[in-house]
Amino acid sequence: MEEIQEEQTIKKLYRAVTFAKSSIFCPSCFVKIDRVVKTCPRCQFSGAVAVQKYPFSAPMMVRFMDDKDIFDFRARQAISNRLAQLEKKFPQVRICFCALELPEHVDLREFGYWLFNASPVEDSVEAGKRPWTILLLLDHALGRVSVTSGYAIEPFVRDDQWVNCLRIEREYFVKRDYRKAGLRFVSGAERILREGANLAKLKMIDQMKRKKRMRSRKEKKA
Amino acid sequence: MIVFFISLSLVFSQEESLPSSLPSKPDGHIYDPSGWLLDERRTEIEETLGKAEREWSVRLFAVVLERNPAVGAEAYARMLGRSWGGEGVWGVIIHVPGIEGAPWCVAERGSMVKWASKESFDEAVKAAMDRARRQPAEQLRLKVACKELADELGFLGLKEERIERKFGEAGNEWDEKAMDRRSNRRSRRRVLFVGVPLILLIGVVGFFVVRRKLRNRRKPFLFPETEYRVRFEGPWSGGGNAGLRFTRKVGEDGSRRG
Repeated sequence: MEEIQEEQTIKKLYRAVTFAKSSIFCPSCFVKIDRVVKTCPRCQFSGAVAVQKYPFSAPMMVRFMDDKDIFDFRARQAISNRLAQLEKKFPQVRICFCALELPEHVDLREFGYWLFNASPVEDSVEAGKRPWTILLLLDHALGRVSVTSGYAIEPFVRDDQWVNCLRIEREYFVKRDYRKAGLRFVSGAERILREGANLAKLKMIDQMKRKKRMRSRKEKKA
Repeated sequence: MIVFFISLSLVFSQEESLPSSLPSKPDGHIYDPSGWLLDERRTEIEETLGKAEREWSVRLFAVVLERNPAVGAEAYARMLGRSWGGEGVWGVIIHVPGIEGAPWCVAERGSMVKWASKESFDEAVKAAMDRARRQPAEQLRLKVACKELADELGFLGLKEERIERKFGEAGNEWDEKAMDRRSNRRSRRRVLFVGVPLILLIGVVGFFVVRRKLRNRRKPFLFPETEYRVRFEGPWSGGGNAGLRFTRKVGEDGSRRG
């Protein structure tokens, strides 16, 4: 896995905890962790472990990572159009779809973590986009689906929101109607992002007010 | 010239002497100084005329005279009626025993009474007298005359009263309807004056609110930049716990189970 370059680090205006409500889970054993760690205290999972587990090269992170054309041309076109609308509203955010077949013992969430981080970042554009990426992983053979989000978008969305969204679209995944499922997932994602955006606005206003109050108090003291 | 003054003075002397010659109003409704009427008839007539006064406010008098008055029976009856009857409806039946064509009757209404025309009074009197004159006996004739006149005038009064009441009710109803209509019109106008601008105002405000919301929706939103919670040595993502299985698990033998 590549290290984040110094210049790639995005401006640190807010602490993630200002907005983040989602708990941190180990992507391998799913134990809840209350702090940021390099290695899971329970199963010792880390990026290095993931690389050892999946010793092959990850594909480029593009809109559709789908060798077997699970998302057919019509589906891709419809989803791309819908994504274009979403990107107008949330220009930072990118949603990628990856369809694959994995063995039963491989957990899709753990694989999502590996794919997200192992996928090559070849330029600054990709480096800017990657933390704002939402990856939908679809194991069409075993009927599994998971969502992994990057660090930048993570504070504004929650895992339970994604699970709810997937649950609502379950019917279309079951029917193998991936066009409809993909479209509805994008709509669900837009709803989640809008909620996150509204909450972020409120928090920012709140923080600004607090800062103003602090400043006026300091001035009074002075 | 002398003849004219003499005749004028005679007329004045006659007119002045007329009221003084009129008998005073009897206690009941019968004036019979000679006592010609039998007690039985007298009672019957008194009852009939009393009822007419009580129920229909029609004052009727039966007058029995020994001889025909000089001014004529009808003229004398009118004089008596005007003297005794007052402002209401009155009628006087004069009978002179032994005189052909008796009894005679006159009925009028006072200035306070507005109902019924002179013609209807005359008709009522004529109908009553026609029926009375058909009777063979004199006392019976007078009795029937009294009864018939009382009934006719009573009926006339009731009819008028009913018509007036109907008119009154209809008028009231019409007034109520008119008032309702007026108040409806007023409230409708009020609703229009208040409602239309209010609806327009709500519409305009709603339009701007919706437009603003739509603009906000369309306006691109940039999430604030945050510190990354870098974990598990992952440079871009720390993974997550959002997963769902939408088909049954595959068993070792290849079968799918829940």
